[in-house]
This record gives sequence, C-alpha cells and structure tokens, in this order.
Amino acid sequence: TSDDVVFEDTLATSGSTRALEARVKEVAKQIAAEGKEQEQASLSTQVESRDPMKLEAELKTVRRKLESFHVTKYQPDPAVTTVQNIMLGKPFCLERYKSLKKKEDLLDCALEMGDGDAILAITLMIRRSLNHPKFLSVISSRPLAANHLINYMITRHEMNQVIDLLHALGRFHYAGVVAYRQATARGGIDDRIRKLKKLYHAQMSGHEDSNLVLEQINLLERVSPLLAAESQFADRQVSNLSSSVLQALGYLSTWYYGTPENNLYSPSALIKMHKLTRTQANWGMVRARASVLAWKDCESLLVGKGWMGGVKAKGEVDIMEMATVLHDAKCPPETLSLILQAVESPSDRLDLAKKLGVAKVVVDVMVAQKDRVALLGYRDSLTRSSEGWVYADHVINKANVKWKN
Amino acid sequence: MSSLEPDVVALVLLSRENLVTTLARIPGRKQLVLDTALMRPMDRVAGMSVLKSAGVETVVKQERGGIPPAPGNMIRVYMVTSNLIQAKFVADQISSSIVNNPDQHFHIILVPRNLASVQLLFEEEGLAGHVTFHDFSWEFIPLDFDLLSLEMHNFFRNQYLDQDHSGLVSVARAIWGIEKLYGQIPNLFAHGRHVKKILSLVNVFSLQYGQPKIKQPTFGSIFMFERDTDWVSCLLSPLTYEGLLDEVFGIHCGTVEFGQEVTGKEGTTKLQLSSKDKMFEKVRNKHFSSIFSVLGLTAKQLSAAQAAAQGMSVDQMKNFVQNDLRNMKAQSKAVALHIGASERIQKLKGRYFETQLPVEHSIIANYNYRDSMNYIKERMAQLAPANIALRLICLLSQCYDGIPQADFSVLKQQFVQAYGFQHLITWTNLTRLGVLKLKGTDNSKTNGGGGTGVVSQVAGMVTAGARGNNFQALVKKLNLIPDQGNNVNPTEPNNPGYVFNGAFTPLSCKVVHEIIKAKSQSSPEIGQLKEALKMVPGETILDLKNPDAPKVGLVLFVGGYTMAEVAALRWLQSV
Repeated sequence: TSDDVVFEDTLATSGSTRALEARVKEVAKQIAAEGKEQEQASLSTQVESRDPMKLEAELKTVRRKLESFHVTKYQPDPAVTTVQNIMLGKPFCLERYKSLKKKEDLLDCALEMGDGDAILAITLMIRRSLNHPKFLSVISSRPLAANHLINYMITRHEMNQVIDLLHALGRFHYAGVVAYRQATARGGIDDRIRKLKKLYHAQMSGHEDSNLVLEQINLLERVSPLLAAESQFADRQVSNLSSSVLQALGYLSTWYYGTPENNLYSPSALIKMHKLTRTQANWGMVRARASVLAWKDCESLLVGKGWMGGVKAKGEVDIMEMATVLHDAKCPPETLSLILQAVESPSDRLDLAKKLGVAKVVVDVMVAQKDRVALLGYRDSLTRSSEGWVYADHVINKANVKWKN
Repeated sequence: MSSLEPDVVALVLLSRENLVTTLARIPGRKQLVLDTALMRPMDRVAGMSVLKSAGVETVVKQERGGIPPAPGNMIRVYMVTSNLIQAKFVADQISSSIVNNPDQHFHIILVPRNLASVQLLFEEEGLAGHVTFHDFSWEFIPLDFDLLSLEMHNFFRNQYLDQDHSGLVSVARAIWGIEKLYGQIPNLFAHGRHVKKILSLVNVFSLQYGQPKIKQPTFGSIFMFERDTDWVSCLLSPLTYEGLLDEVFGIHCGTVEFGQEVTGKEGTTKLQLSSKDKMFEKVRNKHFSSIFSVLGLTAKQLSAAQAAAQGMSVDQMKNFVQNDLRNMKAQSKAVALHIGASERIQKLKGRYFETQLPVEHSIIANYNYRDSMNYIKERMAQLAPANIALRLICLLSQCYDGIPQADFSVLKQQFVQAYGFQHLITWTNLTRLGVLKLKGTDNSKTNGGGGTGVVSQVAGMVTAGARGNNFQALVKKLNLIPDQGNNVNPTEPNNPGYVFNGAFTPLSCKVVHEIIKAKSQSSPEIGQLKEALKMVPGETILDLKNPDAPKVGLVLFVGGYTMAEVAALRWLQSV
C-alpha cells in the first residue's frame, strides 16, 4: 500500500562497486560450475603418438579397467563420499551398503559430519533394510539418529509407530506427551474425554503429568453437559468453560455465583475439585464479579474487619494489584477506597491512591501523617470544588489536628 | 559509511546471480509459485525485474487449495521452503493437476536446500517422474549496513527442539559465502555444541567450491555463539526502543507492521527499520525512558528542516526535489509512526513493567526467591498475559540452575490451570530445549543429545551462591551483573547492561569485549574467559591467528539474535 514507509539509498555508487561486482560474478561462476563433469577428451587426442603398439597397450588397459568396473559398480562408495554427496545435493545411492557394518559405518560417518538430512536419509534406509530388533539395536546407541527419525515420524503422522518406538527406546515421558498430543488434536469435547480416559489408563500410568491429565478429564466432564445449555446465551463466552480451569471459574462466577456445591454450575465446587489456592480462587471470583458490577461481592471477598475497627485484607491476593485491576474495571470510589484502606503500608497506600485518583484516601493518609504542606499541595492539584477538593479543604480548615508542618 | 566496513551489497548481488542461474536452468517461460514465507526475504534479494530477466513472467502466491493452471505454455515453477509440510501441499496440487493433464512436468526449487525426505515423499506419491528438483539458498541478507540475517525461520525449532540438524549445512554454506566474498577470516572464536561441526562443514564447501582467495580480508574476526549459550538474554525484557518494537509488534525481515492502534487508520502500514531512517538511527538503541524526549527533539528538527525548504532558490529546489524530498516525506511519516508506536508500547508494557522489572533483577541476582515465586503465581491467578509468567518461570530456572521439584510441579499445575492443559506440551518442549529444568537433573538427559550438565545436590530452598549453580558461577567470573551502585544513566550508558535496565550484560557482548581487549591468545584474561565458558553448554574454540587483522568483527548467532544483544554489541563499538 502507498502508506508503507520505505527509505531509498541516498549514497551514490562508487567506483569500488565495479570491483565488487566483478568479485561477485567470479564467485557465482564457481558455484554454478560445481558439479559439471570435466569434458572427456577423445582417446586419440590423449595418446601422443599413433604408434599401433602403444595404442594396443592402451586398449588392453582400458578393457581391463572396464571389466573391473563391471565388478565394482555395485560396490558402495566410501562413506565420506556418500555423506558429502547428500550434503552437497549431488546424486547418491544408499542401497549399496549391504552389510551391517557398512550401514553402521555410514550412519556414524553422517553423525560425525553433522548433516541432519544425511542422518535421516541413512536412518530411513537402515529402517527399511533391517529387521526391527536389529534396527532398534542400531539406533538405541545413536540417540541423535533416533531423534531425527522420531521427528520425521511425527511429521508424517506415523503416530502409533512412533509411540512404540519411543517406548522401545525408554523415552517414556515423551511417549506420553506424543500420545497426549494425538488424543487432544481433534474432535469435540466428548471425543476428547473418551480419548483422554483411554490415555490416562494406558500410556500415562506413572507418568509425571498423569495428575494433570486427570484434572483435564474432570474439567471436561464437568462442563460438557453445560455447554449445550449455555450456548443459547448469545452474549456469553461459552468457550471459556472448556479453555482452562481459571477461565471456567471466571465464567461460572460471572453467571452462577453462589450456586450450591452439589450443582455442576457451582464455582465453589470447581474450586474444591481442582484444589485451587485462595489466591487463584479469589482472583477468579473478584474479576468475574467486577465484570457484572457486583462490587459488594468483591468487597466481601477481599476485605474484612481488622482489629481496632479498621479494614484488613483477607483474600490472600496482592491487594495493590487488585486495587489497580478494580480501578481499571471502573469500580465505584467507595469500593476502591475500602480496598485501598487494606493496603498496610501508609506510603504504599498514599502512592497508589494518588495514582488511582482516590482523593479521600490520599487526604486521610496525609492527615494521619500530619503533613499539612503535602495536603495543601494535593488540594491545589485537584479541580476546585470537586468532591476531593472539598474534602481536602474541609480537613485543612479543621482545627483539631496537630500538624507537623 | 567508512571504508573499513564491508559493502554488504555484494551479498545481495551474489544471491541474485545464484537465483538467476538456478532459474535459467529451467528452459522457457515460467510461472513462479512462491511460498508466502519466502516473500519478504525474496523482496530483499530480487525484485520483479530480476525475475523477468530469468524468464519468469508471473509470480503467484502459493495457496493451500488449488491454484489456477499456468497460462499458455508456461512452465510452473514452485519455490517453497524445504520441509515436508510445504512439500505435501505441493505434491497434492501436482497430483490433482496431472489427473487432467498427465504429460505435465513441474519444477520445484527448494529453499535453502534439497532434502532427501522431500524427494522420498514425492517418490512415494508416484510423482518423481513429474518433477525436477532444484535448490537455491540466498547468502546472508543485509537488513541494515551492519545487520545480516539468513532468514531461516524454522532453523531454531528444527535444530534445538526437534533435533533436526539439516540446517547446519545451510549455515556453513552461508559462512563460506561470506569468506569467499570478503576473504578468509583469520581470527576465530566459537562456542556451542555444534560449532565444531559447522566449521568442518564450511571446509567441505571450501573443498568443493573453492577456497577463499582474497589476500586482504575485510573481516578480522568471527565470533560464533549458539543460541542455547545464553537463554537469559532472550528471557529478560529488553529496554531499548528497537527491542521493545520487536517485543510488542514483531520485526520481520527488518520490517515492522503497525495496525490501527498505532496509525489510527484501518489496515496495516509497514515500516522498514534501518539506519536509512535517520531518526530511527538516533533512537533505536536508546533506553525507552529517554524515548519521548528524543522523539520530540527530532520531530522539531524535522519541522525546522521542512520550514527551511520554503526559502530555497530554484537550483537548490531542483536538487532538493531530486535527492531529498522523497526521503523527507518518508521521514515525516516514519516519525509519526514511531510516536504512535512508542505510545502503544507505553500503554501495553507500562502496565506490568513497574513491578516486573525489579522481579527480573532479583531473579538474576538470586535473591528473594519466595517473592519471585509469589509474583509469578499472582500473575497466573489474575490471568495476566501468559508469556509474562512463562518467561519469568524460565528465567528462574536458568538463574537458579533449575527449579526444585515441588515448586516445579506447583508452577506447572497453576500454569495449565490458568492458560489451558494444552500447555503440558509447551512445558515439555521447554524442558526438551533445556530452558526449563528440574533442579538436580543432568542437562544431557534432555533430548538425548550431548551436553555438559552439573548434578546439583541442593533440594528445596535455594540460597544465593549455592554450590553447583553454573549460572551464578558464570555471572561472577565474567562480571555479568553491572555494579548496581554505579547508576546506569539511560541516556549515556556506560555499561552495555543498560539494554536490560542494568540487570545483566549479554554474554556475547562480554565475551567479544574480552577477546578484543586481549593482547594474545595465551593471556591470563583469556584463560579466565575459557574457564568461565566451561559453565556454558558446548565447547569453546579459540584461534586468534593474526593480532593485526582488520578491526572489523562478525558476530554470528546460530539460532537467532535479540535486538537487545544487537544494541549491546553496537554500544561496544563506542568504547
């Protein structure tokens, strides 16, 4: 599009460019010339004299060479040659490496040189031409070759075979993950539940992630019956129910807050089943309640009565971050005030209240610190006659405060 | 541009020559079907006129479904990234084409190289007789006068995650290309698990295509780092403008694309990022805290220059229109975009940076482990963007040499509870890479590849300076954490650690600095450097043949670079 911004070269090309171009052309020619066979001169021009004796001897030599060529043409090139040919994109033939030793040497040569394409090509040839147990013994001692093959098999969707191979190589954890990937790749929820259950009992017993797979099964079983009913509500993000545990908690807390625990819709039941921490549970519920403007619910989740009648944080959440989140969700100043009062450190509370624009709390802290100068400055920064300004002004003019300045 | 610096245009010219040669091998008029992933790099290498000179009459985007057949008697030439997925798409298309027209023959150019597995696929599908394979690889593509990229997008994943090492050959080929054009590089430093193999593959190319013959090399030294020698630089938040552009918008092939939130208009606008944009040149490596003042200053200067143009003579005006006007227009547009982008960065990143950056600092310095854990757990609980939590978890793993089992399980569980169970796979992949680690596990167990790991006996609580913590040992030996008392001035930084807000100096920058300072290969400082590098997986190769070599260095990151590391290395030039 014409809106795209492109800068042009302002430097004029110098004379050195011609030398540069010449160098480039020379290199390009070398690359292009590679691989072309040398022109074979005709025999008669190679032989210096036309002496029949010499020609006869020459012919005998050539015949002998041809005969031995017929014998050796099916013998394999040295391993290095073949591996280099693969690397350079030249023709090669792997079928000639018949003996087990030759196959292993070829593979080891490729592993030594490091070209992944050669490693894979040779490994595939070995897989084709050895029986399974022999093949396994070759690659189980060559993990890099095995890795190339495993990656190839996964790309080609040879899933069951690759899982078997991984088991045979003792890579149980990865086998489980590949099986998991396969189980969850396609299909609707009920399909997925079925496959995961199968997976859980087969591949995953004793697997590091088995408890998480179980959690996933539990979540999907819980929400599956709800999905159909919920889809009638056009304004609800029903997919959240199956996205993740915390997303599901958010959904249920938004629309079904307070549902008793014996009901699938209950957020508390979900919290219990997945053993969520207070931190996780309260964040999920508060954000959900805030989205439907249920501020009293937020308050009761986050703060309670402290000793000496004050306000104390109780939700096991980072109360300052929570205040910011509630502010961004446009909660009413009374709620924000309350939450801010639960911030223990007065300086933190002051800074945050200033940032979030909660004048009342700022003023209260400044009064508690007996800082008249700061309070005057703050009042003057506010819009005259606004609620905050009036509150600050009223406090400044109150006589019974022992100001320190 | 000084005479010391290599003219990188040679690389583009060579790529063009090779492309034309490859295309010229296919006779007749051609329709080129181009893989979309190759379009941006190809744009940099060869425009339509170059393609036309090689007989390509039309260029079509490779689509997954069907493409209309080539018009007239044009030959269809596919040019696709060399992998099985692309190959399958092409094979399917060819299969359905030959149903109606069995005599068709196609050509496929595989980028960057022909692969045996691709040829096998075509053989299995019965198509081997209908296709001729070619290969083409471009040389390093200059994204700027000092930044080159091979644009192999799949290399990292293939090489380090899937353990598919076919990319090493292409890296070697590209290095050979540089030495052929600019001369054999006399001084060598390399560190990594595969650098030895790469260097021996370069030799194979030399033997095959010819040794570099140029007497006076342009590059005096090459420094090779594999990506897995320094994960920390990938995980920390970059604070330079260019780094943040990459974080927020993504820089692809030297170009960034902005949407409506930045431009205010519908659709997307592309901006080429390079030193040709004089204003960008000034701000790209600056710490983000000084960005708005620099942008403001430059915008003022620009308006002044534009105002000055009003009072020009006719001759001056002619010269101006010919040479400067277009770039000035581009500059104005660019400034507006940069201002918009900066505001967007501020909005998106500013939200968490205030609390996140101190956590990054404390993780690197190995203190407040519990607080760092709690910070991460809270972010997950409130469903903050997943990559914030994940990067911090990985950083924790790197800096503490692994996460204790109990914490590892809890973090994993809470992560998948927050962001979805499919992330079991994410965690497995990160563990296979070695980015995430259980404390006490040997590195070499992951992925079955070779590696130097250290088995730590520490379980449970980790205290700073724990025995067996490789990362902390490396940090101490190389002094990678800038002295915190020395306030890092963001506008005139005296330490490359400024790119990470003073928390950490990228390993590559430190190593390069030590080597160029050293008087000889056997100096004690070099000895210390080698000792320190034993903490990093892989082997070190150091061969400084010529102390009087040109003071131009090539730093090669095998597997990708971060803009922060680039900025740190650029800073090094000013020392």
